[in-house]
Amino acid sequence: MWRFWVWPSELRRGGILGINRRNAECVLPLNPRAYYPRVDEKHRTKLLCHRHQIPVPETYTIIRRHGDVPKFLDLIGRREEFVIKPGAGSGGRGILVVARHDGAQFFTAGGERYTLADVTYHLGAVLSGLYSLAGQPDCAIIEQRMLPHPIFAKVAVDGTPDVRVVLYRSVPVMAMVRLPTKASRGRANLHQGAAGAGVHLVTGRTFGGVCKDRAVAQHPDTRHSIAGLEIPGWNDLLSAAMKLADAVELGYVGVDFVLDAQHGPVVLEANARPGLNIQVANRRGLLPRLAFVDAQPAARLGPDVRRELIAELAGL
Amino acid sequence: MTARGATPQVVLLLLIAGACCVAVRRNYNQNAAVHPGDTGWRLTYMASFHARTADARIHAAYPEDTHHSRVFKHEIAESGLLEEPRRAAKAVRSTEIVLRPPKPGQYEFRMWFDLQLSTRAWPVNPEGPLPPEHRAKYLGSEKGIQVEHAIVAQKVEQLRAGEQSLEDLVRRLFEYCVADIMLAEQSAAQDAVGALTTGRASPLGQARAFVALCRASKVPARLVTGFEIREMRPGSELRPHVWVEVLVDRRWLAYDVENAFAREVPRYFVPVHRGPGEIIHITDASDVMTKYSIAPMLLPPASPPGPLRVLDLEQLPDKLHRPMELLLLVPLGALVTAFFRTIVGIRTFGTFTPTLLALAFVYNKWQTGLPVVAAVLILGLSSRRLLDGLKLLLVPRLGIILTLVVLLMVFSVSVMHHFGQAPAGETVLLPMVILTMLVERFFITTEEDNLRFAVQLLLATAVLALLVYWVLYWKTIGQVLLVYPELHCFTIAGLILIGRYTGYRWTELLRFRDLPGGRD
Repeated sequence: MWRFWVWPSELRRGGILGINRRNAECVLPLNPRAYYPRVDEKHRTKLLCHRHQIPVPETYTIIRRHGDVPKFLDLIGRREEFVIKPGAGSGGRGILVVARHDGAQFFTAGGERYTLADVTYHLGAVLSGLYSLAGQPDCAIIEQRMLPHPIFAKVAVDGTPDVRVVLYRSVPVMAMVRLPTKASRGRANLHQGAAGAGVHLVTGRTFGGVCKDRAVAQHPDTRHSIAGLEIPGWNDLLSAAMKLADAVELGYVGVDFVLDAQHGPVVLEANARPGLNIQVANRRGLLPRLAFVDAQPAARLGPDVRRELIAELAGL
Repeated sequence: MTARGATPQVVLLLLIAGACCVAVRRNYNQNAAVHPGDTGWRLTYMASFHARTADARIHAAYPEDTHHSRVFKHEIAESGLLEEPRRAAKAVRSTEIVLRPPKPGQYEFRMWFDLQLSTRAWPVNPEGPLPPEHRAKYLGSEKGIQVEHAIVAQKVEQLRAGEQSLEDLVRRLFEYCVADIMLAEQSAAQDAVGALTTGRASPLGQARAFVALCRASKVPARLVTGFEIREMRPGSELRPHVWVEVLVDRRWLAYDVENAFAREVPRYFVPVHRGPGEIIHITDASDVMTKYSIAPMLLPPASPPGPLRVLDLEQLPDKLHRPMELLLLVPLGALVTAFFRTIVGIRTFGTFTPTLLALAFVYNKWQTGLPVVAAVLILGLSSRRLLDGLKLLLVPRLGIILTLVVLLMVFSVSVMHHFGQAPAGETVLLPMVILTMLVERFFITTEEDNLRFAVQLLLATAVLALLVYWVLYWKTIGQVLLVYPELHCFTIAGLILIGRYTGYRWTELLRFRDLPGGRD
């Protein structure tokens, strides 16, 4: 039945976590402000990942000064493909994926063409802080381009899909894949029009789906079903997510992975205020799962044993 | 105690603190403060007399406090007379000062009362119900008011035409006295019968005639003697003025026959004495001379002296009042913003952009401000699009947009001037930087997300700005906040409550509309 809105009581019954409650009961008490830079600044996240042997895309160079912008081609060592990312960007903004170039012309995965001037302008904009969270001057990370795993070939348009895992007190409580669409212009951000599908925490298999806040079963562009895809290396992905959550010491965190054709799950970034659309993608509310984790004795939340909780969680 | 557990206590504490501060200030303001427009006056009584015995007594009626006037100081010059304890005079509500000579002889005294007249109303204890003995007194005859006289009864009969309300009857009697009894010099008829018979009377005669007519119609009425506290012609002498109070529906209404004021008298009328008798009444004495005078004086400083003065924002110069009021209104804008963002869930460009926009509009007529903002946004956005081709770095690009915004605003003002519109001088106070950022963010949002989302944000920003504008435009609230800035304790309490709201945002009721049904 098509509905325009739901009553708060229905949302409560469904265990849906609202943004105010997320902020007041998850983000504020569990995520100390001082640790935010560990996730807001991508190169810091990467350093942490290195330290804990969590796979991340190789960093080619970090540009911090406008003076270095013209030299960026030298700095990346004439690599064919690369990704430019704002060091403190959010929502996939400011990310430029170059699939091939000849030093003067740069082509994205979607086939868009940029001139060298366009790319240096983009780098300048990144450094000026146009895409950074607080508008502060930023740095630009130039890193390895990940090749999307073929499993998503039919349900991702013009971009790289990613997998998000939300962890509560370092226990994975919900996961989804985010699939770029034409509307999202290749970005895997639900808010910008990407599609999402819930991922079963035990099997790593997709189900359900959401696009533009509405439940969907198919990719809006390719019309392929987004359910029933099995994510390769799912257990490794969950282990990496838990390790990173422990490393950043944030109690409520979203970790984004890209599934590389060769390397398997690779961490793209972490987020201290992950969005709530994951609930729509999973067609489940987060609250019962958070309550379940809260109800566990500390002994069951240890790094080695918490994996056992996942099977119980997934049924909630 | 957890933060959540402490919230009700903190909110309660703020509410109590706010209420207490308001009460203390209100009490202080009523009792001591002088408000803009208040005037100060010194009323002086002078008298000389020869006391025949030591039992002579001087009764001087004390000016009564009204809603708009009060005595804040009185003094008696040294005259050798002894003051008896002050007591309520026999006449209702008046008090009097009683002096006595230590021995017979010639005396002269002078006393003065410093009065404050205010346009604001002080609370005055209402007069209780009329006791039966007073009622009888205010219905019966007294000197100069011959209620039982035939001519009084005849006039009442004439004027009481058909069924009419008490108030209508009083009005007819009053109109008769005003129109048909000619005001003559002081030596004309001083009593009711004389006034009604000859149709000519002194002011006192006129007032007595009205009292007699009221009383004969079974409406309690009394004479009031007092002063008109206002500037006098140089060289003229202040005379007590007489008016009448009539009890209608348990309220004493004031009527001044001489000046034809009905139901109430101006606030510069200060009653001193009610009922028969004079303002200064001296017994057992001869050669009595009394004289009164009034002169303007400076009021004592409005605020408490010393550092406490800074707590009183009203003491600031007038030209600062409106800006201060606006500043004090800004937190209400924050309250509205917090409500809309946290409880409704509306997203805007920048958290306080709507408040700052609204603040700028308050200085302008919105009819002129709105087209200027619209023009700046449209032209700013189109030039921003052109500028995109130049591939400039962020800060210089913002600088160019700022320059364009300023130029656009300046020429918008010029265009309005050309079309005979008088743009407010403060149009330039429109927040250029805010508009610049708005242009930039709108453009970026159209590029990064899409035009629809950018327009959505812009509309939400505009709606919120209008709501905040409506709050800021509320002059009365601003004025109240200037007097009682501590009312912001309530604002903070409200913000705390919003800050602890963990329920669903209204927009989430739309956003998650597919969810509960999707559970299977």
